[in-house]
Amino acid sequence: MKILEQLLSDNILTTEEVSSIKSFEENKPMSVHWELRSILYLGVLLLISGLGILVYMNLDTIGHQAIIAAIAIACGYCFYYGFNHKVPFTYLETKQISPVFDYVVLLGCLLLGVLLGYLQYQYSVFGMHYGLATIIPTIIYFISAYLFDHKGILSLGITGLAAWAGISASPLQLMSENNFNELSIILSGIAVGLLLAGFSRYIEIKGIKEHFSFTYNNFAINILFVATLAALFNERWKVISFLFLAGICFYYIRYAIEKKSFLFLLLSILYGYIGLTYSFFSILINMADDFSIILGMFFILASCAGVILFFIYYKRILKIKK
Amino acid sequence: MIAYNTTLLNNIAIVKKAKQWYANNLITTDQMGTILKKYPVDYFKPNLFVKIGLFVFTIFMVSAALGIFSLFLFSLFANFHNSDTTDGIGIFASIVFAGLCGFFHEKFIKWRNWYNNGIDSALLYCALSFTVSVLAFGLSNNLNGDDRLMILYTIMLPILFFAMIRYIDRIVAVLFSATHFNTALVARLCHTTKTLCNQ
Repeated sequence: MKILEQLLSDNILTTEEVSSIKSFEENKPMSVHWELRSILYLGVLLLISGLGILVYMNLDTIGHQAIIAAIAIACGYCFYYGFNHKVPFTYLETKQISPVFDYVVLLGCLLLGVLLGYLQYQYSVFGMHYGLATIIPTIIYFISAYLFDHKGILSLGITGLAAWAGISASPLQLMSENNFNELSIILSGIAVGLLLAGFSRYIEIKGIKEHFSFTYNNFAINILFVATLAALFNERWKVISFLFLAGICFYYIRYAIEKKSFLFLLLSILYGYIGLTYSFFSILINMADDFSIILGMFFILASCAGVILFFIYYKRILKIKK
Repeated sequence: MIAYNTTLLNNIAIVKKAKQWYANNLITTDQMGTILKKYPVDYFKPNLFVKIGLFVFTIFMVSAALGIFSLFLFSLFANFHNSDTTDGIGIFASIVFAGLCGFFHEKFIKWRNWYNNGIDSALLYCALSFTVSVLAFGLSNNLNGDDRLMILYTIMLPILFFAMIRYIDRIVAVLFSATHFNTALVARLCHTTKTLCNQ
């Protein structure tokens, strides 16, 4: 190999070491970890969709009670397994012993959601009390997330909480499905976001399951920014929305520096940039002359250059050591 | 042939291998230290998310510059409004921007020792897309669709090949293969249509 020859000629390695490295390189096993995982994932996906189609086609011969009973038994078994195999509760991050534990409890929680959804759809168990129908699984999710120390279930719980508060909170659906024109929805979004961000601060200070704070903040930053941007675009009192947006940006950039998290840095800069550009252009449109178009273009050019320079030199600007 | 600093690429490869060997206890800590000192990998290496941000904002910036430039050009030629002037302005702006993107890409690699940081790929893709748009504006509208595509592909193939080799970029390599495949496909289609028409 070229690298080995170069290291040998630079007198860093001896001939014996080179030969041992060579034999290591020739005999080392090739990793097929990701290939196996992809196949497994694909297999689970195909199995589930196949089963779903099979059940749907034969619904009239199987009957609803049988399906509900099957789901309930599977769900109950998953929770039973979870309670029997879990590591005792601590305030710190716990490492589960069994490798399938995480998947089994996640499956149990998902099945619980399916079960309640099925009951509500078929028999209207909760009637028109949709709030009740969402808050019950949400509470169970939060409890199991803390008991089983599982971030995936926590995400389910936060989504349930946000749905209960009036929006469904996964970042993709936020963009595509929700109509953000209602002030009440915007306000409930902001309230949920502030609650999540505040709660994550609290658990960090108190040291209760600190590793959950990423999940809380990840939801909080998206909900807060999207709701505030919606308020900026659609509502009156734009100055207040803008100032609030600036405040969130400031908080999350500080947070990103504190946690050395590039995701939060990127998100706060992107959302902040959208808000800033919108405000600049709405001022320009009020001016409305030919010159303002050119000025707008120059603004985009200059601000993009600014952001790029910030990304290149942020370590120096924010005085972070490497 | 490679535009990037080849010593840097070499050092990156060496350090990557050495880290694997070090993790498997094949070399000592002293040797690892010597390797790190002797083969420095000192370049701007942003995190994945910062890389995405840099890429997106570089594209925004090029688009804004294109906007200013075209506004300026169109206001110059405001009195001659027909499709030929529009095409001409398009060709001119695309050539200028392809040149500028390519130039700054080359130069920043030389000046700042850039490698794989998001800005360089964005500039490369911009330069290539502007090249495509030069051809798209430049090819006569009187040709039929298949012939236009065929000419476009035939001209782009060597350019993409050059870019692939010079900037060792994965996406350009995929594009190159796709263009190669498409050229063959379109050629086949043209052939079939012509045979059918002749019969």
